[in-house]
Amino acid sequence: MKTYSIVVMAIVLALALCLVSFAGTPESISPGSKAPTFTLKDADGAEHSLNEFLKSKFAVVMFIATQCPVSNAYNERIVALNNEYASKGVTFIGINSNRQESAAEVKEHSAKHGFKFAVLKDPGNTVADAYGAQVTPEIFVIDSQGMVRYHGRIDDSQDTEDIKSRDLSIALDALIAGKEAPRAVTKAFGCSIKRMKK
Amino acid sequence: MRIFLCNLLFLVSGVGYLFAQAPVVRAVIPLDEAGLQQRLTASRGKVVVLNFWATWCKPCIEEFPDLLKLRAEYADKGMHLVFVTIDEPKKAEREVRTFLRKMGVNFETYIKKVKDDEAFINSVDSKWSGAIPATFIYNKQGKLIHSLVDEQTFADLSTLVIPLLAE
Repeated sequence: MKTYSIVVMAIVLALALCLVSFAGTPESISPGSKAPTFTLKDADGAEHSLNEFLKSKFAVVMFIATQCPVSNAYNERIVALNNEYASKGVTFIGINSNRQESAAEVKEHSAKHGFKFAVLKDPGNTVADAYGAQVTPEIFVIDSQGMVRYHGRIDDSQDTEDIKSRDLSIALDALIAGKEAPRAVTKAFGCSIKRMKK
Repeated sequence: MRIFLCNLLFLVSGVGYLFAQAPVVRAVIPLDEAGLQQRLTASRGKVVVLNFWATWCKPCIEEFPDLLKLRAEYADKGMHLVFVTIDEPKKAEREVRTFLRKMGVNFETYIKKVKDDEAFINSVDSKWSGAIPATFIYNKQGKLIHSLVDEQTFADLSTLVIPLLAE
């Protein structure tokens, strides 16, 4: 009888814990985990797979948006980061998973803001789901072995005047130097990724 | 002189009319981790619906009327609605107050003012990414029961709130 009560209590506790989670949102991929592979099309219809980007020392996968004010606040910083780290063996890739932002809109947005990196459209947000990406902008740094080494924000403020911690740069500098990112996971406020309604 | 007095009276009554029509928006109170916990503790015995929004967040604006409808329906049955905007305090206070006035909000609301966003996000729910809109529902004992990201509707929220009110 005592064992039965303990089992019932354990089930109730497990159910209660399940309640305190985000309904319908997949868990994000943690540093140290294998990055899910993907093949997506860019705005011109050309296919790109994660494997082609892993020929670099590090790939920076960025979930970004065309309409999110937070993501847009980072456009210039993303361009600058790409320019700075391209010569250091880092490839930047944008992924747009928002259902309401079309491939044509993504193409126009990239041209307008001078993105020199590929921005891939993620129809049905399958890649966002595989990575557990929730917000724009949200970053995953992946090494040449396909392992996630950093996950989180670009820096700690969408207002450039208030930046105190350039987390992505700090992580990349450490990784390029053969060290671990000092903070492998960070968080920041941003727009939720607008997923397909199921 | 008489014309001047008449004009003055007209002007004063006009301004008075405008003030009578516009809802009084209380100060938007700065909130950090400790302040949020104090606010939640003060609402023990109530079901708390904590909503994070911003003036630049379109889905937040779209769900706002549903949250106000939820408050209108359940406030006198023991539900507290707590709005926290994550707009930048130094830049957006005017926009925030203008929006709240437009929505007819005449109760206390809050604006996030913290040194470290990540610590604040984790103090609410360590599983939360920081994406908004986000809504958190606490039971009468102050325990977090539901964490919801993305736009919610009155019907969805009612389904979650009603059982907690009945506890």
